[in-house]
Amino acid sequence: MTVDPFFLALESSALSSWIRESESLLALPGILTLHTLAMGFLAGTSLVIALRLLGFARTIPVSAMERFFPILWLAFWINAATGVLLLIAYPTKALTNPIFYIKLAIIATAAAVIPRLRRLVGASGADAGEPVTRKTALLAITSVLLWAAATRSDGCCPIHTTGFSWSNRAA
Amino acid sequence: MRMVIFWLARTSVAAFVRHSPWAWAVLEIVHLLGLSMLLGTVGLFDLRLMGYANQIPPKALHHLVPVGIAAFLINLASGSLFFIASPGFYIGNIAFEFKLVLLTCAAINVAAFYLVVRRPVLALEAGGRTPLPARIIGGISLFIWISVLVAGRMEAFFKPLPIQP
Repeated sequence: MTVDPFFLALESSALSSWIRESESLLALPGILTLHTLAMGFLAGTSLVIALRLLGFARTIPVSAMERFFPILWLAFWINAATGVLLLIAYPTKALTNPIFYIKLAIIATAAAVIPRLRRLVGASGADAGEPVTRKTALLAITSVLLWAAATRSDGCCPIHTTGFSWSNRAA
Repeated sequence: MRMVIFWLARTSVAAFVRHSPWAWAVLEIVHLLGLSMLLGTVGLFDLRLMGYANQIPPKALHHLVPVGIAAFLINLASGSLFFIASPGFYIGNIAFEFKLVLLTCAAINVAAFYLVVRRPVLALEAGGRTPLPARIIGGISLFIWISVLVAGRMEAFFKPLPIQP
């Protein structure tokens, strides 16, 4: 198989090799950690919004959940930025893996769901504990499933960190 | 202690996790989803304790805590399976040891919440300001859980030295 010259150029760039090979904890370890942390808040907050819309913890006022959306967006953009950095570090590995494109499609769909959910939450009259519409519930379930799937597909193209360990640096 | 760990590592469950081509990956996904559930539920409650999203009565968000406990148990179970499947990766791994210390701190902090501020916090209405001790406990909790995640992710970068024969 021939590798796209663009991938090779990207992979041999200074930034790419710094992320892959630097012994700094801010390089691969830090970027990967930030990516996981933001993923946790993204999937976790989506889950809470969905649980409430489906009728769990009914005393949470639906309209007050608008305060959760800045968290979602912050987490989303941190994930986008760290994701791009990880892609720069391992372009060939990711871009030749079909699962990676499925993951991107899932993320794009999940991101498109966020503003729709936000509108529904803003317009909701469900504060007094009345049941939400089927459409709202469906959208909430979809968003959780999509974020879970995005997390899952992460496990299918893991970044192996076998290159270097702080404890055997001296060895 | 070491004998117990070695015995656990020889059990068929541990061997299965170690050798199955998919068990480890599935457990990793379960572990990631568990941490998301924990951050989403306990993390949001911590933020409310710290004064964020004041329109929500703390008691309402507190209904999410059982989901967080379930998430913690899921991660305790999947984490224990990682440990018995590959103890050599975790024993002497400073990131893992640090994570255990953090989890102990988390337990103390949870006890502090229920013993010191639970009653006044759960009595607050929408818009109610949480007392200073509750803000501090919420901040510590959020900090600890984020640190647990960081320590867990760092385990891969602090693999212990192989034991010399």
